Amino acid sequence: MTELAATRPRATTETGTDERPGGLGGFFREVPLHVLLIVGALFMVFPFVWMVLSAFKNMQQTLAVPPTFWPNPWVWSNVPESLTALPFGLAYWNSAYIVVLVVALTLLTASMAAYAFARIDFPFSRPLFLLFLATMMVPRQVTIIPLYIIMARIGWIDSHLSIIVPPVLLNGFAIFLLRQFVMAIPIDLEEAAILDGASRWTIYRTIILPLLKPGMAALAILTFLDTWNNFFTPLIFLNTPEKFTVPLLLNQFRSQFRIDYAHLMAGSAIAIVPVLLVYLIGQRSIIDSVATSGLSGK
Amino acid sequence: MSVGKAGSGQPIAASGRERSDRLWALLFVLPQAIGLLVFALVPLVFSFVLGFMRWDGLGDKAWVGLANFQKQLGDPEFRAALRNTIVFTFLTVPIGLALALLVALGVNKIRGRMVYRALYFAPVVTSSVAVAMVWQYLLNGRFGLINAWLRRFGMDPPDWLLDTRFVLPAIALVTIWWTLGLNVVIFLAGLQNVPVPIQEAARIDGANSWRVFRDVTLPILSPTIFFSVVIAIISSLQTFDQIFVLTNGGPLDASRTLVFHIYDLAFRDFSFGESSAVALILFVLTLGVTLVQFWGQRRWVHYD
Amino acid sequence: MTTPANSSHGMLDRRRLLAGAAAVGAANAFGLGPRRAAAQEKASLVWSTWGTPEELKRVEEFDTEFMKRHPNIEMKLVPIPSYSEYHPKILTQLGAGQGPDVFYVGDDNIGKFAESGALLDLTDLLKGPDSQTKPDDFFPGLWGAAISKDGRYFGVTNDCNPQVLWINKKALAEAGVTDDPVALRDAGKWTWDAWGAMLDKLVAAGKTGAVLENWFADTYTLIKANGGEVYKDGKFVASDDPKSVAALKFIFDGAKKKAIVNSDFLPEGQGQDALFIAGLTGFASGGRWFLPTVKDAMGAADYDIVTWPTTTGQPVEPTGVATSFMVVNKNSKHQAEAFQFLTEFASKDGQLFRLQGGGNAVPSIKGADEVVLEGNLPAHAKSFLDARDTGFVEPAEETRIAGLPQDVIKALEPLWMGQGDPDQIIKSLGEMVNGRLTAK
Repeated sequence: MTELAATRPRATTETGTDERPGGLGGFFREVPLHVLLIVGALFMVFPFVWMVLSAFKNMQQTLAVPPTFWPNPWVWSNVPESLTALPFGLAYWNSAYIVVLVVALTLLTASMAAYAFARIDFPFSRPLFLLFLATMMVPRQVTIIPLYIIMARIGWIDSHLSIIVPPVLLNGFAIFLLRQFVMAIPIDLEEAAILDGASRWTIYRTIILPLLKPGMAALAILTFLDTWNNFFTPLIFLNTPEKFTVPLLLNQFRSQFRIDYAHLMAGSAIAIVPVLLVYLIGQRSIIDSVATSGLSGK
Repeated sequence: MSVGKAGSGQPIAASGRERSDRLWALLFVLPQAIGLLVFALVPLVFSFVLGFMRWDGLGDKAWVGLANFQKQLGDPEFRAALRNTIVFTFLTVPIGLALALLVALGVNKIRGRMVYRALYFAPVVTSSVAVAMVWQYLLNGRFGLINAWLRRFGMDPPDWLLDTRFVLPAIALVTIWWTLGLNVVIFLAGLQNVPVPIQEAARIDGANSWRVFRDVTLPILSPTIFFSVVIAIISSLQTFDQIFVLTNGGPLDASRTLVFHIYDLAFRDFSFGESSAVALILFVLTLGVTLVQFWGQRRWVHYD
Repeated sequence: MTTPANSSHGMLDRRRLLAGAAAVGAANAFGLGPRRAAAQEKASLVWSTWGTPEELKRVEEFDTEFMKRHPNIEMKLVPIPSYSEYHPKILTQLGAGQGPDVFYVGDDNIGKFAESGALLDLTDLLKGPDSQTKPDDFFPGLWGAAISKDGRYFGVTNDCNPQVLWINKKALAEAGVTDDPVALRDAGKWTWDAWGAMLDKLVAAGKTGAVLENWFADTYTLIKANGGEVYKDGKFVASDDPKSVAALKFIFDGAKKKAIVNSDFLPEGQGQDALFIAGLTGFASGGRWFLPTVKDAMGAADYDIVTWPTTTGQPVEPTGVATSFMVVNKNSKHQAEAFQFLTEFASKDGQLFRLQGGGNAVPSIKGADEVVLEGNLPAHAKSFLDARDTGFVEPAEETRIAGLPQDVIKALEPLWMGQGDPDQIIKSLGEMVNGRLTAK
């Protein structure tokens, strides 16, 4: 095993002018880029638009051959119907509070571990870090039965704890991601604090966390997305329909021989609204963080 | 000022400091370490041991030594899965990450960046059924849109998802499209580490965009890129969802991947021993590739 | 405690249940009897099934009625939304020693479950005095691998779905087909020649002839419609029997000229039902599960069903039937109560209760056929019953061997694509299946 935590001497940073590209010249320079990005965006967004439009088609329209793009006529009843056909309100509440807990606690446990792995020299830190990586290398399909036994032993089958606690207490992806971001933070601030006798906790809280904002925001987006869409573990561990999360509920529109596309699409379209909101807020905070973190000047 | 790793030979770092550091490290790592112990190590050991047993999930287990490995190594389905998984990784990781990096650079500072970021994130939040509907339609041989365009240029395109030669590239295309947004999010976060003033200073010095990118942006972004490469390879070696949604491993195993094979062995064939054996092979393969990357990172990854 | 429901329903009250349970216990040869809770306690059982929201609603209504009849039994339904995730979850639970007391098993998995020793042997219970589901009450072809090699019963069908041909009358008319397949069948003229001529006309009119599916129900139905055999004396003979080979080549030829399309190859959302409703295919194979979709999208005069054409001179040859089975977990702590639930659920009254009023399946037990004929949708709904009466389920030889049903489908894929050399495909199919049958 090689140097997991290899570091290189840091390039000296120079403070430059705080000018941003702009003005008319900047605009014209940007035109070809806009053209490229718009073409790509059409390609990226097409199935999404399709999904949203399908929520306003009736069954004949969703099964039209060849498929039609625009609903004709627009069917407004799918959305309210799919909201009332199944207990969506409850599922939304379940998904919402689970995802909030998982994201908040993951950010805490993962950033703590990431800081230790990036900055503190402690025994077995490299093999331990590697073990966390290794947990990502085994497909869940082969570990689900022993995990089920463990959950049954703890008494968490059919409890939301079974889908909240494991991702919070074990996330190799998050540790690795934040470790990379901690390692990119200039170390001299920390050196100074150590000389001043600050504790590791103080350094983590007052120096590292504020500078970790972009990485944390990215992790929050990805963890939110992952938890919100999580289908496999709720499927296996939850039994009572009142405890179901949104993806489990949506899955009920797919039966053995028939898929109710219109209602499935309506339900899916509603289900992604929170994810998009969190994404936009998260992106905003990534950008904001640059202004406040002092990285651009220091 | 340039320093080495924390805690390594600071004159002031007495043994007391080291002791307290160890304690803090333990405390910082503890929550995740508990999770590792309870939710990962026990299941991992269970499934690795199962690789040396015969078990249908319902009846008794029996020790069979290396029989599962021997059987799988000689199994054409396993070989197809191994080959497909490796080919798929080569098809998706380099193009997918390069594209994500380009998009991240493109939407980093541009006017309307929030709109672009939302648009490029759209595939990630599109339901898998919608993805299957649209892409199976686009790629359909008879009346798919892609082939309609290709025919207009006088080509004779294949039936992408039903042709053993083209199914993997077709799924690779869908995968790159599907995961692009995730990688862009990570790269965008990494780009916030690149101080604007340095770029500007370099630009004023007369460096062109390419040189600014190569000499300033790329080194500072390298820890993020390293992370993305490691993760992309790990997840590509675990490809399952796209296969499950789009082709079910067909036609004729041409899109069967290792994890699809693992799933099939367990839940279709009720052969949990062989399933675990393949998982162990995949684990060793992934671990090897990851270790090589960690060994190679010092050549190109710049930590601050 | 007596509830009003007891008197109004009168199927089984608590005293009869206790008496029945005692009789079952006595009947058990080992004197151990199925385990059951003390009479005073309320037995709490978990049971699992898949289904659409509407189906599950009906199932819950049945549960409520059942609990009214049996105040000492509490049934907790654990619905597992879709079929593709159902068996992995059940298998995970059983593998962890935490399976439900009663549950459904799909026809493609019943053989492995029955052979595994995880299921309760229902033979004596089914034949016992408390049974509302005697083995003879069911249609004989529907057992499949639910009966083990040594003749023990491990499950009963809760309902079934015979595979018939759905006819889009408009599409046929547009293609210039003047004969009505149903009339031909009734006149004894519903042959492959007649069908093939219709398929050709449909293709000539720019449509697909028939959208079928590459699975046992369609493939083996065609083989039997041609007088061929699939399994004989534990051997796979479809690759040797000339009539079976001819049927397989019929599929190949049809696929080659695009008269027959395998629905597996169609894109999501543009599948069999979509092509059928759009009138782009004349025929589609399927069970009664098509009815809710077709009924909503088409006028009653525009579609119908017919049994598969034959070459044997018989109006109907054995037809593939999709089924699922209800089974009891061998490790259930409440086996008597579990069986009580199973036998009432799968009984004539149970099937009537669940399938009436727009059900999407066909009873697997005798005497409940009125639910299929209600409303006369489709016009010749009786074809479902004709197909079921002589129907067969997924062969036990196949489902007992892990993954074999799926491997057969995979081996037949090129045939259904109309690609390659059909003789070679059929030959290697036979070698593969017989190799798997003799291995172990």
